[in-house]
Amino acid sequence: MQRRDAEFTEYVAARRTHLRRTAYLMCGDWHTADDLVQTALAKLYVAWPRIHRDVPPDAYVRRILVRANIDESRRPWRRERATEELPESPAEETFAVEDREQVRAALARLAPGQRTAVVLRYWAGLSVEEVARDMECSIGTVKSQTARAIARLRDQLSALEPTPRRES
Amino acid sequence: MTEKNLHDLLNDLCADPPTSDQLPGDDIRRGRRLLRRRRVALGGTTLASVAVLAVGVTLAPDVLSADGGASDSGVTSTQQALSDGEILEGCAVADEQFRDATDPAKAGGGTDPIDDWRVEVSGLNDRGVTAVLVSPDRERYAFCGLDERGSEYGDYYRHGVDVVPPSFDVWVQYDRERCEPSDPESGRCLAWYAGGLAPAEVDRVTFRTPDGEVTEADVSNGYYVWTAESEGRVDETKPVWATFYDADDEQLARRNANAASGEGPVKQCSRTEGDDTIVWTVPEVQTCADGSEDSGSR
Repeated sequence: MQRRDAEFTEYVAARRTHLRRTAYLMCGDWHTADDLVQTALAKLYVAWPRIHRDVPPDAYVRRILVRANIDESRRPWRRERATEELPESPAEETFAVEDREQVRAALARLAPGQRTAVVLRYWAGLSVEEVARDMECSIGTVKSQTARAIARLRDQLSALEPTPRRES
Repeated sequence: MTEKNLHDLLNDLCADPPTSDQLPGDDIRRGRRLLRRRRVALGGTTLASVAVLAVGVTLAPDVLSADGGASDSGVTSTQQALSDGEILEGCAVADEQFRDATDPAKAGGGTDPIDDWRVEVSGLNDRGVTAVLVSPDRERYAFCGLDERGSEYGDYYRHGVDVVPPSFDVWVQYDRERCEPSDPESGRCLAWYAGGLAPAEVDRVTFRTPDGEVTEADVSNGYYVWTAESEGRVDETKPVWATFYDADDEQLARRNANAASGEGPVKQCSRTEGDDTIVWTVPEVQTCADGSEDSGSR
């Protein structure tokens, strides 16, 4: 148990921030993201001896995050949540605040599967095959979900300049 | 918006996470708690199994005489059927996105909204509906997947009958998120779905999944949709055999509908129409649709 704890602690210390960011981009809320990460890490701890030996822990945790997030999005109270209502964001450094809000709103309008596909593909940098494995669906589904998500985002964010801070 | 821009936008969005209130060791405590629960549950299951076995040995003759020994697993879906109107409404949203993202005219699907199209055939699974929609002139059709709320889920495309004509070519898709295992604690399952337009003589289409189960597609005027669930650890890369029958139950064709799952060899088909050359890809084991010509394997 001591060895498991030491290895697990080392992994969490190195990857927690990345996992929180991944979860946040998938669900759009930091509190929910923390819940998802906690759930995923508890399951990772249970499976650690097998996971650590057979598969990269990141891939295992991502799959749990994806599944937990989609389950979460199916809950009745989640369904009734207004997607236009945006949580407060911390002060921004790279893009103008209104741009960040626009990105957040555009992401929130995507279906959960589309959002997950975009985050894994374009933020985490995974291949289509890896995204399909994480989402446990076929490659064709990932491609179609991603294409339509990109089209929607492009439509909503076309006015944004992806350049550093714009002074108001 | 380029891929890099999108990456930068997403990166910026999550660049400043709020401080986590997690203490060192919280994750390990939660993990240990879950581990203990799992062990207790496993022990409980084992004890229950022994008890059931013991009771079963004692009561087996009576039980068997009462119900013939058969136990129907009775997979009941909580899924409520969506009306045709709800299907059309959900698919219209998917169609709008599809027209934004691609050029449906290339596949002969046209660019007009699908408001006046009708649901030709639809099939239910645990968490959604798969449907084929047909235009009023029946010259174009769309394949549409929706979740249980009537929102787009999975694949959507629209074609012209003249560009993608009836054929035995079929591609199956799968999704583990789209089914409910009968044992939610330890079970795993996988939802399969497919659809298309078969030649006019086709009356019945069956699919055999890797677990050996054979299920029927819903067929209407050559259009068909198929959904099924496989329980347990199913290898999604294994063949899924689609068999096409005519009205006399004669087999017309048999195809591996899972040959294009991303691996496996494919070949190009092409057809010339006027000044245009239409090119598409099919699994190597399948034939190109009528009027097409193989341009070699790759």
